[in-house]
Amino acid sequence: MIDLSVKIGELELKTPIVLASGTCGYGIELKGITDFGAVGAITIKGVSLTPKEGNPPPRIFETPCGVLNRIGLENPGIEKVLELMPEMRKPGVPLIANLHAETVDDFKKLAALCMDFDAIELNLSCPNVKEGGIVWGKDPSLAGRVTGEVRKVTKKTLIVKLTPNTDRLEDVALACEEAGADALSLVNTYQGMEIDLDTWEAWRGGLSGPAIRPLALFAVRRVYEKVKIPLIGMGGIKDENDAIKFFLAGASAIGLGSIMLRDPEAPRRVLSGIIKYLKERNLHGIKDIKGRLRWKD
Amino acid sequence: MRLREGRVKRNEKKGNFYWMEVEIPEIPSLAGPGQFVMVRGWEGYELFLPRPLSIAWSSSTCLFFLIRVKGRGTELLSRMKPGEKIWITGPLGRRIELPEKFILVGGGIGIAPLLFLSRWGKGYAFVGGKNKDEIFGTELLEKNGFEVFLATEDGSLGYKGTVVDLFFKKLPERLPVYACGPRPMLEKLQGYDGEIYGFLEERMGCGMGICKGCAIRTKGGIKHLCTDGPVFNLKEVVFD
Repeated sequence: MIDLSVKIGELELKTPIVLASGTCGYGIELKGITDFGAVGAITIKGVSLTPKEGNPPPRIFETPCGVLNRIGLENPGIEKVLELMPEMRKPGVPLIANLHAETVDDFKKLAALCMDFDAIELNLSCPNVKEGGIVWGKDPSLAGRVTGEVRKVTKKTLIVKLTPNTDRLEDVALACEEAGADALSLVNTYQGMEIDLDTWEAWRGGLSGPAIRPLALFAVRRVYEKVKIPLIGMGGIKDENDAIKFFLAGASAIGLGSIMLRDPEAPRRVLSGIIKYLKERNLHGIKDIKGRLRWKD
Repeated sequence: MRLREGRVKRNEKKGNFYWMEVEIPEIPSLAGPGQFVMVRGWEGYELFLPRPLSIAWSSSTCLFFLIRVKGRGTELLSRMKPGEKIWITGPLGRRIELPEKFILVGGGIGIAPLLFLSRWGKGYAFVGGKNKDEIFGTELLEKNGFEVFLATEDGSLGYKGTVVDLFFKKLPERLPVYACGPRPMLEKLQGYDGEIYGFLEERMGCGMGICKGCAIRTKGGIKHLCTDGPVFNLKEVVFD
């Protein structure tokens, strides 16, 4: 018997496949396309206290084996998103609210409004506007402080999504764990840029897709060696082989992101592949492979 | 509208374009005017995303695409041979309600979705391109009951000048207009004194409304090409 269930904080996932924020909308859009039976949880598109229009176009560029995006956190605000709750519940899958804010207070207000979600994920890749505009997730003390403050206002499973754009990733992870995070998800996109050859116009954006998979895998491993809380590993996962590498690196669950844009039926495909891999090796679940890689250098 | 696997049936060079027929029986009966599909003709991941393509025509089991090579994706699609596998999600986008009689204005590859619209009515079609190698589908339009006016910028076929100039010159009746072509063309058409709708184009990620990549500006705020369009009331669109 293969047991694919995973526990992330108080969250019971039937499968270790989480739909990452920003690449599955509110789940509603995928009705009739994605087989939600293969999905452990849906992380909704990031939401803020008030509506955000997002960036003017262009917002998305294809790059070799990847996607560079600068959507700009477009969302209708928490009030409108909460109105979608009955529709969002229809797939019958746990819902994770992905939150972003420019101040600690706004993060707390948002978290307090998320009573009907099953878990909360803090997006720390946006700037702390009130205090110098430093990105929350680049600085261990900032990341720890915002996590701790949110922890005070909610009993929900609290996940912190880490940005890889820092040279203090492990310290940030530890600070979030100490401040009461139940789990970490990583990585968010890597900062990059694109240039138009005709106009010389340039844009900053976040890189995702298979291009970042080795970087993301390494980030997950480094954090796994430091913290005890479960990790949701993501970054360029396109198939079961990538997914299994993240488990071997230490992830308890994996996130599917950009691949959803190309193949919205990826969850079932990846899950079937994971089951096949485990069966062929007479393994019984993710726990049998989690973190079990052997360094050879 | 799940991800389906189809097969290329033919892919012929027609002037500057390629006319591709794809056998994909599940989709044609679902497709309505104004809709598009996401198409991927490769299994590798170097080109990561599928490409949005207008439905140019359909038969009971096949979709037809008109392709112009613009980047690596369309180049690969243009080189596909009969029998090769191709992956399509769709139909996507908003189906539009067409009046019985209307005018089509197509610039270059922009004729593609207008050919499909011609199935649902009759009227007049203004077809333009840089030269005669960019004029496609006039016979199909005539067969569907459209009187065709041609314009080429070099004068190699029909009126010498842009299709917009010809349209404003020859405008036969004040009917609703459906246009597709480069942005400057659509911008000029915003000046039409009547109902005017345009197929817009923007870089697209998913085609299904999950990535919010294909944003455009309208007087009513940001809209998304894949879920609110691709056809918009041109008077509402704000071109940057």
